[in-house]
Amino acid sequence: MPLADRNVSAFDPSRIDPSPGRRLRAFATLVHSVDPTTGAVALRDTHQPFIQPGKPLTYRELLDRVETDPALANVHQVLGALPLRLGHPRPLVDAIPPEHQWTARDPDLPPALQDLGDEINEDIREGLAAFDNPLHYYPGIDSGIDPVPDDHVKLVIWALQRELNRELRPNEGHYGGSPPLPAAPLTDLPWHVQRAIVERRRLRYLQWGIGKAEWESGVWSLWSVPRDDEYVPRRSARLASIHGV
Amino acid sequence: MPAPTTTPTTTTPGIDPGISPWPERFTDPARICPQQRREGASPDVAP
Repeated sequence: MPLADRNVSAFDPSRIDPSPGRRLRAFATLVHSVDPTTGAVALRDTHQPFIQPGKPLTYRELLDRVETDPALANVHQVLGALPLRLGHPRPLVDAIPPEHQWTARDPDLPPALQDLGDEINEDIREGLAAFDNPLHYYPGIDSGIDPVPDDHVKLVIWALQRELNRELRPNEGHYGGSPPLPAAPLTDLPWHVQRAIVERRRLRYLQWGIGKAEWESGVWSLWSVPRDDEYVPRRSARLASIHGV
Repeated sequence: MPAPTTTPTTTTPGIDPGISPWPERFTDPARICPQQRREGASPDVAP
């Protein structure tokens, strides 16, 4: 059943769920049911309901209410100023550190932006086909984003590599048996593919309403995420077709 | 009588047959955990 028609419960965007709606999926991650009999719903990480309609609401009905009901203006306001980064606050990185110190965890996006993280991940994954075929067609972004300087391409590739190096997949899926497969060496990709990955990343952020200003402030707004009711994450679409979800 | 035609030789660029495809050589980024995929967006680095 599409997310729009499901009663509010708990939604995990990291599961294989090709249910459409760019804003709706983010919104569904930010709320959860605290009493299915009364339809009471709270914001994620809280148990104090902000609405008790007397009967369960669907995610679409609830989103419509939050968007339009003046009585829910405080909830609307909260969802309009959400933290962009989780984890221990650290300085933003604007250049490749000369001596990078490995840390147990780098800042990550909040769960409501799981789809954004997954789209960037899918872009990297698709770019890796260039390892097997140097002529692999992998276009960048010609319009709709600010031009990306070469130094920024190098910085972002460094940052993406930092995370790929962190978690490695064991060969054949056997944990503890065979050594993990190495992380894909992104700097070995053709330069045009590296650049395209970075241009696509810039576009992905914009597709969730996040540009330079939001990045600098560390705040994003659910209301800047386009509704985009037909949007389905590529990862979910790809895996659902494989697993028959 | 027309001259016999010859079949053009085409070369499909691709992986050296001695090298296995990349998913057998490297970690597939799509198979890492959800939190790591969110870290992979590197939100401490500008879009």
